[in-house]
Amino acid sequence: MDTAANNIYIVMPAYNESPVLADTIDGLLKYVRPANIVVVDDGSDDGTGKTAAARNVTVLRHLINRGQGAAIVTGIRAALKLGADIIVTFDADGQHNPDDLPAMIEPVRNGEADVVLGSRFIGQTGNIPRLRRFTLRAGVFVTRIISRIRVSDTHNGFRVLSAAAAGRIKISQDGMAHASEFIDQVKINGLRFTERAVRISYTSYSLAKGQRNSDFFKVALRILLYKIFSS
Amino acid sequence: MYKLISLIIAVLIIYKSWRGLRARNISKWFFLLTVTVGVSVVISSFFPDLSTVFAKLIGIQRGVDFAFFVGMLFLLHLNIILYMKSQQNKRDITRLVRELALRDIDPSKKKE
Repeated sequence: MDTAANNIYIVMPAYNESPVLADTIDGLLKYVRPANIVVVDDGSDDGTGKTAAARNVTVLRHLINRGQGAAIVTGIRAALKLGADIIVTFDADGQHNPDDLPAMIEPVRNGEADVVLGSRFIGQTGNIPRLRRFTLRAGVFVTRIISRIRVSDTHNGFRVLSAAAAGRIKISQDGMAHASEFIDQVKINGLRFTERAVRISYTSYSLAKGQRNSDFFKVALRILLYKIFSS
Repeated sequence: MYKLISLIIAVLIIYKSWRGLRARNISKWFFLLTVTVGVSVVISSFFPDLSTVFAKLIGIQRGVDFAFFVGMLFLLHLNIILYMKSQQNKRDITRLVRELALRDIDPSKKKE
């Protein structure tokens, strides 16, 4: 993949991801230069920032933990400041497969879409735990009602957006609800979007670190309040 | 007895908010609100039938139900105000943390 032709930046929010971060970064280095990986250390206390810096990637540090949504916005702002044409958001916990990157980037690179959303429900759905599958489907249903947009996976952290789209998307939710807000912003801004199949690896580490199924209610309430107070 | 208790509570509420106003911890609008609440508590204690008059004006039979209804509305209003203030504080903290994180990003010094 020629990353020089399009200045591609990977934004990776990371909170206490030291055990897996190096492997995640190494996987991405097949496709992008170290400087084009922006790791936002979201107030970690396990040396996440040092682990990232040892790989010579761009590291930003939140002095205190503000949540994944806040870290993504910081990373996107940094990428835009550094002159990114295309921005990819990618989870640090090793759930995403770096080999999905070329297919994810293609629609934005070709100008077919402003935003590409990764979906674990397209094609081979893999080893999604049953309860997780149910809560994710419930999230899709809630998003369809609240944001009136049809997507198959609302809480997938693997996304690609053009610089122009990144400049228009405004995320106010610091926590996990940012994922629903992101989709809402795609709709509000009338951005062209498409979905691509991505493989998610559920490991005991990622399941322990990621969202709990009970978070669904919290996220649904947050996004409902956001819609009430932002409209 | 309850008249005396409600009078003491109302005086305390008004006194506390007056001190808050002097120390500039609360706005004059919030002070006016607490004075209104305090005075209403005293009036409804000394003239309980008055609340029934207001209750009937909006279609509620008993004065105590009217007081409960107004109290619930007041608490809901306070909740919304506090929620919005806490959200604003969270946003401000995030903005500050973000600006500090972005301070060192210098486009002219890209790593190779």
